[in-house]
Amino acid sequence: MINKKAQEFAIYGVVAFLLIIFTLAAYWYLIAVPYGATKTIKQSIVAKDKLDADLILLNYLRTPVTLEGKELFISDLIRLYFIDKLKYENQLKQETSDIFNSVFNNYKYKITFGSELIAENGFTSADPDYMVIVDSILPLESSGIVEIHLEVNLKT
Amino acid sequence: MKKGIFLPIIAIFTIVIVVVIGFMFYQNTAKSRTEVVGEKSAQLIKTIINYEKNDYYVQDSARLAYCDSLEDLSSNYVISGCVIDGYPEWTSEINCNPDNFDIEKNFNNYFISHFNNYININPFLKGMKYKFSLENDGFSLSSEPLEQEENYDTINMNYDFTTDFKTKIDSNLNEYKNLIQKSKEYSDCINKDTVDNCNKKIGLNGIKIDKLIKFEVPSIKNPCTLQNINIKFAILTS
Repeated sequence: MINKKAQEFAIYGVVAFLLIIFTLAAYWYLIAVPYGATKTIKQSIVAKDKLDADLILLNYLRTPVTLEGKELFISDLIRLYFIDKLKYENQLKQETSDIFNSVFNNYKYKITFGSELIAENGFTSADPDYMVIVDSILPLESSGIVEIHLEVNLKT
Repeated sequence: MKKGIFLPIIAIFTIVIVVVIGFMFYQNTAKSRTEVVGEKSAQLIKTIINYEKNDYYVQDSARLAYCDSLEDLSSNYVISGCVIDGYPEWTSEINCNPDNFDIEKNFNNYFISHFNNYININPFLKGMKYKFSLENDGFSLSSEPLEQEENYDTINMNYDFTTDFKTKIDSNLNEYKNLIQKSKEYSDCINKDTVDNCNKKIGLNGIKIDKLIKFEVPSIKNPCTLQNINIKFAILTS
């Protein structure tokens, strides 16, 4: 009788032991390690995208556009917008949205000229680790400048 | 050792070992992955991008300064003392002969003034020295090296910013020179013929008011604003 009880206890003990080992292994390999790795990979992506966003903003400014039959750049269109907002607003906003929607199709972005919002796609601020903010200045007629401000939320 | 205690001890011991190994594995993994990789490369790339940004700013400023100078030339193309009824007087007399107005020298002065204003707004480019020269269909600009210093956490960089480019532009000074030539032809014509006939022959649209024939020529387009630049002048008839 006692031997049978001890036998049962030993069997349950082995099963419980194996369950604990399995649970711990599952925790380390499925939760703890992948979580740490994911966090680091995200950081690498953020660093890469900060450089990219700077270049994307510069390339945006020198994107060719056709205006009144002439080949100009987005930077020229921005200057014209500040001379005659009514005339150039639609084209500027459309060209800007087209460019950034194709570049940031997975991310939310917002682009402003000074305090004027020019384009965005449902942008909301996020944790600073996931935010990319880049600026550029553009000369305007009669020795003025405008600050171009691009914010991208990398949290998809 | 008591019977039945061996197995639980082994179990507890194994659990402890697994926890310790697992924790060490996690720590090692996390440590090796949180190190920043390629930081210097990223900073170098950032410097190159900044260089490109400044270079584009210079090119943009030069184009703008060129356009501003075209506007200045049109509104200031006046020889001192030769203004009648708000119109610059262009005659072949020595005092008011537009040939006496050094178009290129004046244009260069306007350009230098505007361009300096633009680059002085940008703190990276402030004080940049450069050479500007007019070409047949545009201009060229090359700068002297401008020392830049970039300080990052892991690297300090010194580099010389230089820019050298040629830009073709729609409106050039030949259009002004052609207009002066046409005004001379018009002056000769008006001594022999009527205003209407001279307008047709020379291709200018002069309006005679008393002894004055006034012109507003919108043939030159500002390539930056896409607006016509009106050049005003007048010819005095005898």
